Amino acid sequence: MTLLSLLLDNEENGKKLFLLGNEAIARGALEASVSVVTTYPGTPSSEIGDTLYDLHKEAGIKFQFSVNEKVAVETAFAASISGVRSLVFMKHVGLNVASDPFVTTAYTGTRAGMVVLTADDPSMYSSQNEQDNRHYAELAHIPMIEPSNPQEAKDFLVKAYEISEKYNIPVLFRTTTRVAHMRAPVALGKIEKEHVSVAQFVKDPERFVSLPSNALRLKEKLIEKISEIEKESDSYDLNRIERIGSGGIGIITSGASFNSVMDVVNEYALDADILKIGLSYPAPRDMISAFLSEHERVVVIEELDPYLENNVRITSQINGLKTIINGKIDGYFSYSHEFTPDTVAQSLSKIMGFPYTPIVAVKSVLPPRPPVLCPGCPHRATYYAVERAVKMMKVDPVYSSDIGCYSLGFYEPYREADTMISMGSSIGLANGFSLVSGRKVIAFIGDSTFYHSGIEPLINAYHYGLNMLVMILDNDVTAMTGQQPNPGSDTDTEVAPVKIEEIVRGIGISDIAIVDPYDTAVTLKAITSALRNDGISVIISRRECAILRDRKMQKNGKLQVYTVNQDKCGLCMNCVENFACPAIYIEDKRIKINPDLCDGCGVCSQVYVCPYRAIEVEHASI
Amino acid sequence: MPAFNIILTGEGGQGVVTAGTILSQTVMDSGYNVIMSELHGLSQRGGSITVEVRIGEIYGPISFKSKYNLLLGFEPIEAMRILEQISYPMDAVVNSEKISPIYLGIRDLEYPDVDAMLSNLPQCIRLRRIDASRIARDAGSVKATNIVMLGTALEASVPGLTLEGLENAIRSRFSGKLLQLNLDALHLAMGKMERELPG
Ligand code: SF4
Ligand code: SF4
Repeated sequence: MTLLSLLLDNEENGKKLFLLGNEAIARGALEASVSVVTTYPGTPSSEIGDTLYDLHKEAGIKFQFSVNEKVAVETAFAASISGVRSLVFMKHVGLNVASDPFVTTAYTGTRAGMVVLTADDPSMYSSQNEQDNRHYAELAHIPMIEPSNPQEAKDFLVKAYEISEKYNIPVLFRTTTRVAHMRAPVALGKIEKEHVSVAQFVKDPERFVSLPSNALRLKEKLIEKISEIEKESDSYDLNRIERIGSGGIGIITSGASFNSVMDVVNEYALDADILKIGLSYPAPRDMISAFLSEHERVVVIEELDPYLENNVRITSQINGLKTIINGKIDGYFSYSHEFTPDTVAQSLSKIMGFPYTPIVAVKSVLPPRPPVLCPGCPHRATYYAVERAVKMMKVDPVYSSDIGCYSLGFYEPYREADTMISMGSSIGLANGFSLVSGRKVIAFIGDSTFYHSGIEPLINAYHYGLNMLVMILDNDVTAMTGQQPNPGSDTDTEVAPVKIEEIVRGIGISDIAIVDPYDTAVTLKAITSALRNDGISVIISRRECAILRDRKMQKNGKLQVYTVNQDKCGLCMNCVENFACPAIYIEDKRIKINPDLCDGCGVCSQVYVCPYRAIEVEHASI
Repeated sequence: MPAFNIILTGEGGQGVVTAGTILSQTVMDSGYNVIMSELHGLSQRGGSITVEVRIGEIYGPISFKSKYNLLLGFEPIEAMRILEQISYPMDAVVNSEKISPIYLGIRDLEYPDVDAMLSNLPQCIRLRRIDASRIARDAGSVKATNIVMLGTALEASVPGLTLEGLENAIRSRFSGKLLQLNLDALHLAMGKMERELPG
């Protein structure tokens, strides 16, 4: 049985599967009879979408890869207030984009259960910042649940819908990388078969039109709801105490930190009780207060910001307690990085006085191996062409980059990223650079990112007559997060692909070229001509992601491979030093191509990359 | 039972995550608790990749650095990158085949002398070199390197890991040509390991 059929199977009730946190969440959505699912792909939340996308038809779920997180939240919210359970998920920074509707949905409240899932990324394995989205719960007055492992991720999600429907409020479900990407045995529950996916919105404008006159009343009601939830927070089995110690020391923790805490407590046989908080907003102050009174010292262990610690200190102050509280505000724990058993043991040993020898990191002499653009990646060809064109034209542009695989243009040898801030910021920042300097700006933006947040800054740039070259790298998918479709994709008959060139022309921009980056000559010509233009130019560099192309080629049995003709090679090193396809390497002072890696794109064989024309097709095979 | 911690490392695209999943599934099917850390989400190929598999009554996916029992290094630089940081008693199996990071070409640098570094490891690390990529090619494709590496783990007394269990996990994951390739690679690896056993 495939994983998907196992996930769909209700007979599997009680059986254990080895699931990724994100797969467990997908199963949780099925067990909770969620009927509308929306998302914008983002690590570490992407596999929830990949899993639910693959099984949504069979499960009777309406699924959308939305154009961005804001639209995703709005779609899910409308489903909820029409009476259909919805789930919307995104990476942590996605909630910044969605925060506008998110905050106000708490005021109006929901009808059918609605869960907004945020996947935070301590240590920034694949993110531009390390923000702690627990603050959003507090900011919006939206209850928040934090699971620690795949089993809880599934079980707590089902509970999140109970809470959402009991109080008619959205619930924020917060995972982190180490929970989302942790694989562990998960015991399945029952899939409730009653899906409601078609419903009529019952009007109630006094509630759903958040004009100030309504909103003031709604705000008061919201605060009442939150204090209700706080009073009943014990009744959901989301917070629990592990009594291991003899009462001297207590540890308060949540989420992924709980796992490291338990591994440390067990490894060092520590004398400590643990209060694990699963429903962390509203913080269970009564429970915290009782736990404080029972212990002489309480240590708060949580990743990123002192969210729980603040609550613990406030609780202590309100109740006039004398318990000693340690955490990060007094300097024991760090405000950044994920917590591993080693980092927890190191800080805790200072507080509890057990022997721990920290591992001293040695300075590595080994060469780094950052992720690289795939062999055959169209972005490499685009970056290479831009580099050549800029040299030919003797210009020194500011490179304003964006979020996607092409962010890797930051690395050598391309070095074509001077800024990268947020989704769509390539064109947004180009507006500002162009406004204050006479210098040419080249903005790089992928197709998904363009649909997500690149259109508005382009409108602004055209409106104010700014000077920039916008390179739209159109590879047909949201590649970085796993080749999810986007509004440009023609995946099936139910979607209408949106053409980027029509959007650009619709704005009024006339200097627009569409090129195939695999054709270096044509691409180069288009770039040099755009660099001569003084206004706004758009080049759509269109070629599908090499991974997609690979899959198709393999199906058709047509994978060709290139090789270096040693008799012709002039050892100029251009292909290795400036083009840098990972399939090309040096061995025994000769340039070679690794046939296991070569993707057969043929760009390296063109005269602009190999002036000696030494790179040739080796063979075409399966 | 104390926890048993395995760390697998290599270059993205070498099948490190798949190997970790098959290993974990085998161990879980023998009745052990197992947790795996799986850091992925970026599609691009290449780049260092590390997966941990922890067996026993543990909570989190990351081990204490001083508590690894076994390292499976799919590529010498990547194996060394981990071994640089941890010098505690453990078994280490390292594939001999080198994959040059493109960084070296761009900077016109040589592949570092990892062989020398590996032979200078502290005594407490029991090191085995194996030509896993070549064995995989002999079995039909370099794609099976990860299965060859898993085959080597059979000698490291991993709780719950048996040849039969591995075969079953491979069978439930692959079909057709790939299944045959991977089973062949596993058996070829077993044969090689026996012959290469000291004494
Ligand atoms: S996944 Fe696609 S877009 Fe991303 S680096 Fe690879 S080929 Fe390029
Ligand atoms: S054809 Fe050349 S550039 Fe394209 S993947 Fe093969 S070696 Fe790399």
